[in-house]
Amino acid sequence: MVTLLQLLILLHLLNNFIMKKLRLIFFMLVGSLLLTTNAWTQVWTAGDNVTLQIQDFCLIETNYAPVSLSLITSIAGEAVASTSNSDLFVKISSIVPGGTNREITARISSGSVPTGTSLTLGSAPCTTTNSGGVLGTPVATPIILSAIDQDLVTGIATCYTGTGYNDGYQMTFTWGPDNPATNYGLIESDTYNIIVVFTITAHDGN
Amino acid sequence: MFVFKKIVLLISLVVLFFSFSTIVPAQNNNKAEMSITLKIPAIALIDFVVDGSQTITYSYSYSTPNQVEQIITPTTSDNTWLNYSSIVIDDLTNYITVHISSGSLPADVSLNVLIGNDVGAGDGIIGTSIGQIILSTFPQNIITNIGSCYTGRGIYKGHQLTYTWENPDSYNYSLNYENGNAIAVTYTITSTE
Repeated sequence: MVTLLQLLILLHLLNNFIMKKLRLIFFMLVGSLLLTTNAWTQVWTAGDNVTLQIQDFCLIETNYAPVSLSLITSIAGEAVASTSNSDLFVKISSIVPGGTNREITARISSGSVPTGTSLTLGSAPCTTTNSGGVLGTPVATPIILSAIDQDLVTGIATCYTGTGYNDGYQMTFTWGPDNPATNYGLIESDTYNIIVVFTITAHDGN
Repeated sequence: MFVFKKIVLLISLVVLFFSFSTIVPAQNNNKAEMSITLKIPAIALIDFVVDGSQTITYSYSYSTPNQVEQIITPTTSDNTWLNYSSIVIDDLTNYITVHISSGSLPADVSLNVLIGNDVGAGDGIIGTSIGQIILSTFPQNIITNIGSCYTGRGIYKGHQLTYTWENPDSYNYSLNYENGNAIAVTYTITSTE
């Protein structure tokens, strides 16, 4: 008998429990439907999440103008004259993160300037015809080329120079006797080949 | 088991992130090389400059800039300055010779020239003067061991030349000049090559 009573109580409790579960399920169902309808309304108002990415980058190139210089004089008694060449243009494209800059530097990577002479390199401001952006400023005094990189143009941000033969930064090489009072006697007749490397540096935010 | 799945998912996400990064690389070509040719030709140029107070005829040919000729009279004294420019090849030097290139002197007449030292108006390895010589029709060295240098251009630059005559009265300059037999000396700068 006891066991029958116990069974009835158990059934009641179980029934209660199932009802509670059903109620819970019912509420969940209603809740989910409400959420679903909310989501439906969102379809009409929300846009796609489009990511626009601008990677920082830089490119450098020259117009491959041949540069050949000769130290000569045709008048007896005179020193060989300084000579210059402005055929070379350097072109760049640059994108930088905000507030950062690049520089164009130059150095001699192969060979060396003949003894008793010095080779300087100066840049003009970038040509304006086909360029745009923050093109930087050439250093005021031409650099004396050596095996160590030196700044030619500073303050370059996001910009482009144009791609034409005479677009970009016009470079002037000037070659002449170096301190002739002490070094002129060191000059030796010969042909010297050197390689100059132009580098556009990583932006200074790196 | 659940934790293991999480880790697999995480690794997959990381790999996917990096693979996207390499698909869109920063495009960089940050160096441009160029070759430059620097030429220093050998140079050997010589010329006179004469103090204007005394007329001395001389010639200079641009086709042979390493030679210059001067007509000498008994009144030619110390008003001539020898200028030169020189660029030499490694281990070589230039030198200057002089000879009587035109006309002839009577047997009892001799003509001397004193080549002064460089006055220091230029730079570099200026040659060494031999001092005084008796001019002849054979070239004689007068300035040697010229390296890469220049004397400067003009009077009071380079080496002063001083001519002296022995027994000049025997030499009738005017007659010889009219006959085209004036005495001329030629200075030549040459490489030891």
